[in-house]
Amino acid sequence: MPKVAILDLGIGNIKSVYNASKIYEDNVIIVENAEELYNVKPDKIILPGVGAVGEAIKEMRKRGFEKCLNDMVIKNQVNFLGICLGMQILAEECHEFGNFKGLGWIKGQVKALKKNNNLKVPHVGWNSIKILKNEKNILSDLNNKDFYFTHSYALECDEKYILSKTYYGYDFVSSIKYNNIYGVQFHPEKSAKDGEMVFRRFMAL
Amino acid sequence: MLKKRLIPVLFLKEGNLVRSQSFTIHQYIGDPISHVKRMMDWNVDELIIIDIDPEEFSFQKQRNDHKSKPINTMTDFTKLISEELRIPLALGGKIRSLDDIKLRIQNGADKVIINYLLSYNHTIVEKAVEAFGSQAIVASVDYKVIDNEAIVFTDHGKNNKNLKLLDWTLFAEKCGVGELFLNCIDRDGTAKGFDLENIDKISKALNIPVIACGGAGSYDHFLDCFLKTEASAVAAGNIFHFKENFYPISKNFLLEKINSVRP
Repeated sequence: MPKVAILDLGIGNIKSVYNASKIYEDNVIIVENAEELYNVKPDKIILPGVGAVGEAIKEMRKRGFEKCLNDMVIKNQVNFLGICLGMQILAEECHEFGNFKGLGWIKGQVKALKKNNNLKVPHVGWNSIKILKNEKNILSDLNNKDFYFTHSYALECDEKYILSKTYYGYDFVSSIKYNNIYGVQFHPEKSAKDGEMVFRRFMAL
Repeated sequence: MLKKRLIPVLFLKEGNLVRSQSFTIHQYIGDPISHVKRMMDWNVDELIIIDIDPEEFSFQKQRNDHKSKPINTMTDFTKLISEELRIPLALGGKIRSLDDIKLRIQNGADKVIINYLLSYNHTIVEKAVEAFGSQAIVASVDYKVIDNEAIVFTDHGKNNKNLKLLDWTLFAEKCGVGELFLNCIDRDGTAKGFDLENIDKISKALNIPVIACGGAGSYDHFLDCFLKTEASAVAAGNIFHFKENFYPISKNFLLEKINSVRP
């Protein structure tokens, strides 16, 4: 029986990620620290995240998730989905109210959205994604669909990781895929039917 | 392309959905849960729910007809609807402390809408932005137009703050909030159309997204607001409850005119 672990960093609303996961998988467990995560032995891990990245990184380390995630996701290839901050944390460095060292799984940095054309920041609302990878993935057939975004920072990384881009004055990275690791800048749990599809595909991996 | 949002607002009083006019007259419409379900069927972009009850507690009727759980409090209500709501939910009303904000976010709100705190304890607003991120905090500002000048009112439109709208909204932005919910009291419940002049002025002056509310009476009004101002979203209450299928009808109308709305 597959087990999905949702990591709780103690900040923000993770219930909506839980609720959306439960549609396609009965066995979903919220874990608050590394010990619980080792006990659960999940075959899928979701790291949701809203709020400030520095706080999220601090909580991740405090709860012992860093080593545990390296063991499970890098060594044992457990499928991983990072949402919003949960994706940003995968970078080497995050520049938001200071500099924070991320997990470094993705060679890249998180920086403030580039301001141009008087665009509002944060970037809030529904925006479409342009998928760059043809191989089958959790966003297949969702090209040009609208997803809900709310963020002021974005990941900048090598093209090889980029699964989709989204236009907001320029094309920023809206999702990544690297082996068993997925990251989405948008909130699939808040993106109506197309968002549910992302969970469905991830659960089916 | 980022889409312009069309957002229904539900005003709750004593646990019932009400129609609001000039912030003073509130007419009973019905059970909020069935209305939330209707919004979900309409696939709305986002939902705003504001508890305008002056009393500390709403939901006086002990309701047992929704599934098995009785709905007695705003928290019960939020928990119940957020289970199936797969769109952003913003909650406003009676938010006086960091704990009030936390309670709402933990029970399913993605954003909270603050108004009182901005006036009476703005350091809490700054702390909330730090703790939950600016995307989770929406500042609500109510105003009336007096002698051609937009003036801020607080406490459900009762108290004249004697401040210009522009100055106050810039202050809200400085506190770090992620969005501004702009409500024109004179237009509330009138169906005369949005206060385009002030919405345009504020949305141009601010760097954060502005949600414009107050006065929607037809779908042309939504279009006008999108074409003539830089508002990122338009919101309306009454009209979605009184006109049959008004949300999908408005969306279809907007989609024919502009491509920057979500189908």
